[in-house]
Amino acid sequence: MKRDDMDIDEILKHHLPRARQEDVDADLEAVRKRILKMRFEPQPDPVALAKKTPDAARLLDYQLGILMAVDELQGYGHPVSITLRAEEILEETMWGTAVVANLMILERMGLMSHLPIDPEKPKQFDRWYFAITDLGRETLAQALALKQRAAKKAENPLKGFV
Amino acid sequence: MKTLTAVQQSGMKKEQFEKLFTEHSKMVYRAAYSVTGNKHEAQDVVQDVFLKLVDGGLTLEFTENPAGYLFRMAINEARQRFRDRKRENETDDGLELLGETPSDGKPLDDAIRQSLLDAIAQLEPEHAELLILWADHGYTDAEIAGTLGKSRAAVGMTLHRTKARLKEIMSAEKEGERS
Repeated sequence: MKRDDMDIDEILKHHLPRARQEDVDADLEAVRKRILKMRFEPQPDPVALAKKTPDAARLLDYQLGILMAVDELQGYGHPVSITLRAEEILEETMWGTAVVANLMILERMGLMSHLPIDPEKPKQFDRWYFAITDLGRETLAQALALKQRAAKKAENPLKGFV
Repeated sequence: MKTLTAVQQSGMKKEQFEKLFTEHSKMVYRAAYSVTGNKHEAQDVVQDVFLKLVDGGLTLEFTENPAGYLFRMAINEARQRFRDRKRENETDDGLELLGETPSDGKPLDDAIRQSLLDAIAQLEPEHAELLILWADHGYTDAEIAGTLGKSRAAVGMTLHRTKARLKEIMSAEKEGERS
């Protein structure tokens, strides 16, 4: 198509993406619910939450890598992007299936939560966004602090005895 | 950022959010979809725009012209996402992702659509805003002027220049591909 042949009005009319009305309504309802859940639903009781606080020391490096990846992706991480990010963090290859299994475990522990990207396919877990919870962030910070202390001790095991 | 003391400064009540979402979310979504050509990204844009509003409270800029303010946020956010996605796709195996833009599957149509989205991403933000209001929302010059707070004559002239610029970018891209 040469410059002079190009009818920009026609191109805009025929090729500018236009959302279908049924998509608009369904997608906006999903977003509305997501925002209500994120900002307007009551937070869980802190006392009940404290009772089930997981032991940060018992988290595996693998799980820490996943938690860090989810945290860095700021609520927009899905299993594939989380796997790729966690691989970068841990500098090792990770199996997608194992990452998904650990995402489920970490969610059950209350350290993260998920929201379906497509509300019409709520069970398609590869189309879920995962977000770290407050409890998850707190546990991650504790676990990282423990790791740091352990690493320092390993560098100088006689510190405090000499 | 200027903030009205009379207006809520941070946070927002649920009812207030629901009212604003009902009034403006369709426009935000449609604008984002026109720029990104992808429904998931359009959803993310709506979410980001309204979360910023909920968290940041109602600023003076917003209260003066809610529709124009949200529309601008939507276009800026969508353009950023479109550019990020394009950059990611270019670094990942050199593949171009066309998103989920509905098409009849003709490669030429897909190529023109992609070229159009690329060109819109290169326009000045205010020109892109104006173009989307005209082309997707079907607004007249007067309606665009009202939404963006400009004069009708300025809108007419800018729209004309924007279309010429769009044509120039698309033609240059096409000639670049040939050579």
